[in-house]
Amino acid sequence: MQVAQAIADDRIGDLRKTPTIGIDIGSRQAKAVLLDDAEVHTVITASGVDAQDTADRLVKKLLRQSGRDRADIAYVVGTGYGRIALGYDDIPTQIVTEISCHAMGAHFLNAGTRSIIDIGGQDSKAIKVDPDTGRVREFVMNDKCAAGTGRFLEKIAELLDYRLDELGDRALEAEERATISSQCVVFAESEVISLKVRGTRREDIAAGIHYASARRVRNLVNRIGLDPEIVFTGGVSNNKGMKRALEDLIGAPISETKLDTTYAGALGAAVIAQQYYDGALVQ
Amino acid sequence: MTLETIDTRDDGASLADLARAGGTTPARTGEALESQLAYLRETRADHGYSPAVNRFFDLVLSYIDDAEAGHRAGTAKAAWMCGGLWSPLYYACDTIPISINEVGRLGSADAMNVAEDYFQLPKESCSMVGAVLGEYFLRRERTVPRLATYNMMCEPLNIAWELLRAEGVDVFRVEGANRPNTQDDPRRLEQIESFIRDELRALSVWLRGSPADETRLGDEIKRYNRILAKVRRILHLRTDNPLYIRSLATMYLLIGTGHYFGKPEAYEEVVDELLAELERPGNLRPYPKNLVRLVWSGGRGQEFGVYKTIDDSGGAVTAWHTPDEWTRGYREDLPPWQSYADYLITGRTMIGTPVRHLARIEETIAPFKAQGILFYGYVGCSFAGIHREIQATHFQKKGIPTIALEGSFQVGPPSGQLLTRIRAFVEMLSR
Repeated sequence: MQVAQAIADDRIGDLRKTPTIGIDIGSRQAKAVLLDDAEVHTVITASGVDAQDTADRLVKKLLRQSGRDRADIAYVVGTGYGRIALGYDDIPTQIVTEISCHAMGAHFLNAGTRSIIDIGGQDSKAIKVDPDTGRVREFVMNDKCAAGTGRFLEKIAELLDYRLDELGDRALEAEERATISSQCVVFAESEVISLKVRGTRREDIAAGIHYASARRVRNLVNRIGLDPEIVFTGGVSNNKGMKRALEDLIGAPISETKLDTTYAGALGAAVIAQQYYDGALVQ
Repeated sequence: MTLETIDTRDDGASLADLARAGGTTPARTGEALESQLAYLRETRADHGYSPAVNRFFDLVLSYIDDAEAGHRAGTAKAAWMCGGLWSPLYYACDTIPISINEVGRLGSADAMNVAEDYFQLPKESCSMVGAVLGEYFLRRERTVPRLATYNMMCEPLNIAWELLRAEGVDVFRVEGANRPNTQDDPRRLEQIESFIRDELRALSVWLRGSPADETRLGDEIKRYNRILAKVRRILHLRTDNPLYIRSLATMYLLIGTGHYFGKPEAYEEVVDELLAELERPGNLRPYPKNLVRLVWSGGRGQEFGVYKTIDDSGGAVTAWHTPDEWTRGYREDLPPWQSYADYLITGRTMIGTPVRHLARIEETIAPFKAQGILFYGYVGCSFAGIHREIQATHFQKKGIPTIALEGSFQVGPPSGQLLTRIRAFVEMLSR
C-alpha cells in the first residue's frame, strides 16, 4: 500500500527513503513491516516455535510482496517476545523492546499520540509517548495475571464456542451485560461456566468478560494516567468489544488509524531501523 | 522427621537423594545452578583484560566450598551468618563468616522443592526465604551446622531460622532494637546501645567460647573501614569508567565487603589491584556516549541476567542502595563495642522504614551521575513491594525516573518480561 494509506499525514515527511524492515515476534502472532520509500508492506503469521525461522519467513514474504532483493534492505530491527533470538549475518540488525517500538509505531500512525494501551497475547502495557519524538516517557506493564491479555480472551472464546476473531463483535450484540466479578482467569472461567448453565446469553457473557478484562487494564493504566490522544495497539486491538469497553471505562475515545494497529510494533521497529541506519540512533 | 520419610518426587529421586550429603566434592546440582555459574563465568570472561577481576572471581567462586572444607578439616573455624553485619566480630573471633544469602544465591530448583515439599512453605512465600531454607537443608550434612542471625532482618526469615533450629542447626539469634529518632533522649539511646553491646558480646561467646578481645575487635573495625574506603574509591572511579568492572562484578565486590569471601587478606589485595587498574592512566573501557547510569535499590537479586541485560542494553549500575552499606564505616572515635552498637542502630540500609532510606538513596544520584532508579525486590515479599511503591512514588514526584522490578530469588534466567522492562527503561533514558 502507499505510505499515505498507512501513515499519519503529518508524519509522512519524517520517513526516510531507505528500505528497512521491522519484525515483531509476539507470543501469538508475528508481524513484519517493510518501509520502502513511497510504500508500506505488511505481513502477519502465527508465531512459530523458532523465532528466527518465523522471521525468515516473514522477510521472504515481504521481499516477494515488494519485489525487492534481500541486498536492498539496509537495516532490520527485531522486537517483541521473540526478539532475543533474531539476527542476520548479511543485514545490520538491532534488537529493541516492543515498548519503544509500539511508541514509535503509534507516533507514525497517529501524529498526536500521547498514550498507548497495548494488549498482547501474554501481557498488557500502558505507555506514555512524547508527541514530538515518539519516544517513551513512561510505561507500566502487567505480566502477572492473564486477565487483561489476549490469552484470557482466547480461553473465553473457546468456552463460549466463538472464534477469537468474532468474540468482540458478539460482545457488541449484548442485551444485558453479564457481571463477571472475578479478576482472575481461573475464577472467571468458573463464573462463565456458571452463567452458561444458568442460561445467560453468550453475547451478554462475552460483553461481561470484555468489561472485566478492561477493568484490569484500566487499573494498570491508572498507575501512569493516560493523556489523549490514545492509540490501542497489540493483537487485541482489533477486538471491537474490548475497544468499546476500554473507551467506556477510561472515559476517553481511542483514536482511529489508517493502518491496523496490530502492526504498530513492527512499523515502529522499521522506523527505528531507519533511524539506526541514518545514525540518528546509536547503540 | 528423618530423610527416609520424605516422599519420592515424580522423577523417582527422593529428596534424600538430592541432599548434598557427606561428600567433599562441590555441591553442584540442577540446571539452574549451572545457569548462575554460567553468568558468573561469562562475566569473568568479559573481564579478560583485568587480572584483578579474574582473581576476584576466584574468591567469589571458591568462597563457600573453601570455608566449609576448612571447617571440616579443622584448619579454619567457620559459622554461617545472616546479613553482612557481623564480619568484623566473626574475624575478631577467628571465625570465617559464611553468608547465608550466598547459599540461596547458589541454590537450585531442588531447594525450592525442599522448601515447599518438606517444610511445607506455601508457594506464595518469599522466594528468598524458600531458596535459602531449602538449599541450607540440602547442604546440612556437609556444611557447618551453626548459624547466627539478626532478628531485625525480616520475620519470614526468622521463621526459616526456627525451622532450621528444629532440624538440629545451632541457631544463635541476635536480638535487635529499633533505630532511635534523632530527637531521642540520650538516656534512651544509651539503653539501646547497651542492649546491643550485650547481644554482641553474647554472639562472640557463642562464636569462640569467651567474649572477643576488644583490641582485636578494634583492629577488625579498622580493617573494615580501610577496605570500605578503597571500595568507595572504586565506585567513584567507576562512574567515569562504568564498564571496566561490569555491574554484576561490582555487585559482588560490594557483597564482599560483608565477609571478604572468607579471605580478608586476599580480598583486600584484590581490591588494591582493582584500584590500581582503575587509576592507571588510559585504562578506560569504551562505552556508549549515551550510556545510562542507574541506581540499584533493594535486594541484590540473584537473577544475574538482569545485570547482564542492563550492561548489554546500554546501561550500567553506578550507585547502590543494597544491604551492603558502603557509604559509611564504624566510628573509630568510640570504644569498639560501642562503635559496633552505634553502627547497627544508626543503619540506613537494612533496618528502619523505607522513608528513612530515601535520603540515603538520593545522596547517590548526583555523585554517580545516575539518570534513573531500579527498585528490585523478590516475588512473594509483600513488605518490599510496599517499600518499592513508597520509594518509587517519592522519586517520580521529584522527576527522577524509576522502575519497580520483581524478580525471583530462585535460580534460573530472568523472565522475558522482566528483561523487557529493564531494556525498555534503559532505552527510554538513552534516547
